[in-house]
Amino acid sequence: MTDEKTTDYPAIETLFDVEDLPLVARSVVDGFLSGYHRSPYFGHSSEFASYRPYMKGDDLRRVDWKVWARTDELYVKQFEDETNLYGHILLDCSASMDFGSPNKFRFARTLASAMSYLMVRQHDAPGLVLFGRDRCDLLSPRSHQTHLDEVLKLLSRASPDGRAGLDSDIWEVVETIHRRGITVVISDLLSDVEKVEKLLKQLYFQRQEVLLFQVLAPEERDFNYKGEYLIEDSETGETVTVHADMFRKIYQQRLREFCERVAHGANGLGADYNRAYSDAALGDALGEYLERRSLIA
Amino acid sequence: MWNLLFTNAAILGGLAVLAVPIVIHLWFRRRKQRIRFSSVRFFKVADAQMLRKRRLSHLFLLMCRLLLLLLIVFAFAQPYLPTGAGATKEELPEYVAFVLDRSGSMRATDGNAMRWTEALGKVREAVGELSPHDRAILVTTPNGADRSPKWRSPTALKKELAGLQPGYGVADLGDGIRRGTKWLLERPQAGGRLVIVGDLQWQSCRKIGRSAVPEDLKVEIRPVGEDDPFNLDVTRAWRNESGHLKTTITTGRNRKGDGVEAEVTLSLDGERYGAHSVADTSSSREETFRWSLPEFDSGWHRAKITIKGQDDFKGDDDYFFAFYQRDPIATLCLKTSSGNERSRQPEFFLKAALSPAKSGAGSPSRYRFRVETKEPGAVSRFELFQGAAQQRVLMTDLVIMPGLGAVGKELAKSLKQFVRAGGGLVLFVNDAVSPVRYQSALGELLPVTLGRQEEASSDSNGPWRIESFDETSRVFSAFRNRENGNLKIPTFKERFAMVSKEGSRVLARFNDDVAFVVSRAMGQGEVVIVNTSASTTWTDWPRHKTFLPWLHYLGRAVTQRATKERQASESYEAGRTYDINVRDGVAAPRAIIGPEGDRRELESKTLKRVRLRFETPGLYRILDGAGKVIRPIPVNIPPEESDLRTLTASEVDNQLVRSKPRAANAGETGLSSLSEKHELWPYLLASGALLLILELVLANRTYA
Repeated sequence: MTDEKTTDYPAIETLFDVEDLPLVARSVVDGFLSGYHRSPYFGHSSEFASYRPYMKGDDLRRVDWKVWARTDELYVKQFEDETNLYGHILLDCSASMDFGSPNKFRFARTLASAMSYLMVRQHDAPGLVLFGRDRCDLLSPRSHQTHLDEVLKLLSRASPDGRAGLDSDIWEVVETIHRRGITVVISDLLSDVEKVEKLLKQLYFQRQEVLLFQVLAPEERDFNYKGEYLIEDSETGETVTVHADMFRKIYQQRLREFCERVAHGANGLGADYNRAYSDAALGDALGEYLERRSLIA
Repeated sequence: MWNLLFTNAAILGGLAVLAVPIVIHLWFRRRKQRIRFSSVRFFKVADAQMLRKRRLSHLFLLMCRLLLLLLIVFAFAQPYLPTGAGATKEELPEYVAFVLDRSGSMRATDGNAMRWTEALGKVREAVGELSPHDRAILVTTPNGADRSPKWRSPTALKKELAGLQPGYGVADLGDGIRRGTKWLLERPQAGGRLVIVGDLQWQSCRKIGRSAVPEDLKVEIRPVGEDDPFNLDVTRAWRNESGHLKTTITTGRNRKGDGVEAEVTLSLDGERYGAHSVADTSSSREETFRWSLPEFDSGWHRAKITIKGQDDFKGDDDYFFAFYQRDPIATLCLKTSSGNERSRQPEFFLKAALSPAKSGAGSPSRYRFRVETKEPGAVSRFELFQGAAQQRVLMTDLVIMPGLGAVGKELAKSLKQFVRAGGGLVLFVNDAVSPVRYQSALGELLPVTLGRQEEASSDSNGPWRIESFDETSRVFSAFRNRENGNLKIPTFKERFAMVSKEGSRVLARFNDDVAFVVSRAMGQGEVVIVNTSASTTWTDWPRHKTFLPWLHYLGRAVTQRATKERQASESYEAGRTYDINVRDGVAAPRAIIGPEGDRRELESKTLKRVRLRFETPGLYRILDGAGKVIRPIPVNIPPEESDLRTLTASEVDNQLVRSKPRAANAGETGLSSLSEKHELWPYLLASGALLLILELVLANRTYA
């Protein structure tokens, strides 16, 4: 990957404000792919689909040499791929996600949409789990285009108002995943580290390649407030008096230690830990997915 | 307990500003913003200890600011503590200024004790009446040692008095009262006392009325000495033009002098020379004595005149004097060829007149002549002067040329150069003079155009006499006073017709208006022609008594000695500072030896001008680098101090001018005078400054 993959992106804040989630997902993914030199299409189906001009990064084994001999131009044969990977996207809908500017939940939802769209484009089967509320919403993985519509529709309806977080019945859902595949967890993980590790362990036992995105807002990263504040917890409503200037360094140290513990736990369980800030580009996250998928392939 | 007083108590109302930081503190305390955050899990352990610490810091900062404001308001209110332990508002310290006369007259011993001892006793007595917390200041006149006196406790002032001695200068009680009043007026509180202690000598009281004393200041006059003192003093001495020393003594001044025997003695260069007894000491009078002095060598000479008699003041009984005897005027008289008869030889009369003392004993005159006669042909240029044209040094001061039959070219040339270089030339005429040859040879040296020789006939207008002379001229200055001689007595039988040239000045004329004496300046010198002979061939003037002084004055005038001569007799007064010029031609002054033999190095080592202050009377000596005495400096007690007549306390009090009480003039003292007070505001401001620094540090270390 290079930096070029982000050049055609619309502004993040603009994307988050667009209500048409399918359009957002498509524009994100298309923009991402247009700068992605290595061809993502490498399905193993034998059913020929079409030719396309050779692009830098394409596997030379896929070049049709006969066509080259006749036309003196390089073409790559494209085949109708078959679905060969099941993916689950676990999106945190707890109230703590509804924070920051840009909003963490909008960022996470857009990422989930784009991820779903990309999966479908890859002929993978995306599934969606919305957790964090008392009851999880679940869409089992399918690779049809209509399934994508359902996924995006569910994402559009999702709202960050849950109070449960990792205490919800996500465990029951995770236990239902039987096929080997890839699981993308999108959450701020602002819970006990033990619970996060427990979730990752469970996914590991379910033979899932776990891609963990910890989404944080710039405010949580920088804590650039000034003066004394009465801070209220978005999930529990608990309040604490804090002097931002005095406490900034301590806060940042505690956050750093927490994230390091989560990352350490994730890496110990073979999960791929990524920290994403809501003011960053989505392409990084999509790239992570493709990298992880290539390993499975 | 401290009795804290405020100069500007109204400013304490400014303490209301203390509310400002309190309000600001409370206002910002309320402003706590409420925000919603994703999770407070990282803040739960946000230590309350840190918040407590911050609140304490805020409180300390607030206290700091309040204290800072408090100090500033207090400083502006100018608090002060009355000095002295246990002082109350009613027992404020009294400020007393002592004006003490320490002039020369305080050394007088009228009565049984010295005036100074009595004065110190009276000051001590007045100081003893003060309370320990009172403050006193000592102002002396003349002000030698106390140029910047300080307020002291009574005990400290007594110590200061212990080392004090009277001087020899002139007291000015007016100045002392002015300075004492000034110090009292600079005190913060009204009132105060001025105590004047002295002999109230009338000369020292002349300026008392020049400065006003506010009516709220008490004035106490404590006189010392007797009302009726008697003194004999040598008032002054000087050397007249004839070289005699004259001395004026003042005797009596009151009836106590009746029957007192007194004698005045003169010592010259350390040896007793003579004595006069004072005839009358019965009443206030001045008497002048004349001392005929002997011939002196060139240089400085010192004289000491002492008056011996029973009086009340011994300090002025000795009078020191110094005078300078200059070198004789080097005179060259050219010989004429008038035969062997002495009475017809002009040089005989000239030499006899210029150096009249017999057997070479010389003259006591301040202006002496050293006369040498020579043949005109034997005179060389080197006898007149030495050196190149620009730097000629005269070897001869005066050349007198009686009528010569012939004037050689070399002689005429040398004479012209001699006169231009500053020499004096006196020309006489006689039968040998040929107008044509004279004018041809001397040319511009001649102040006149010579005409034919004239002889007075008894039947017409002869013999001629001197009708008029220029009284402003130095040549005839001796005869301004008609009693010194009548110039109309000498008669003149022959003469030349003379017309003065342009630029010449006719100093005297005959009775028929023909020029008799004509002078002309030439270069730096002067030429004078006398229209008669220097012998008795044409006139009988050399036989008259007016000839000698006239010739002496002529010689001094034409050599310009009268103006070039510096002040050659001097006397200085104790207690004063002088800039003294040391005579030219001597080495630079290096040291001065006092009357008691004390030596002091002089700062001026190159200049011939030294600034000296003489504290005691006596004979001082200025030395050069080799230790040689360059000149003596006679220093005497000022004559004002010899006049011991005094005023009474009531007479002095009547002379005092009183002005409005100080309360009306309070504004004039201004803030500047407050700096002298024992105020607390400087400490408050200093503490405030330190507190401000502390506040700045705290404020920067404390989160808002």
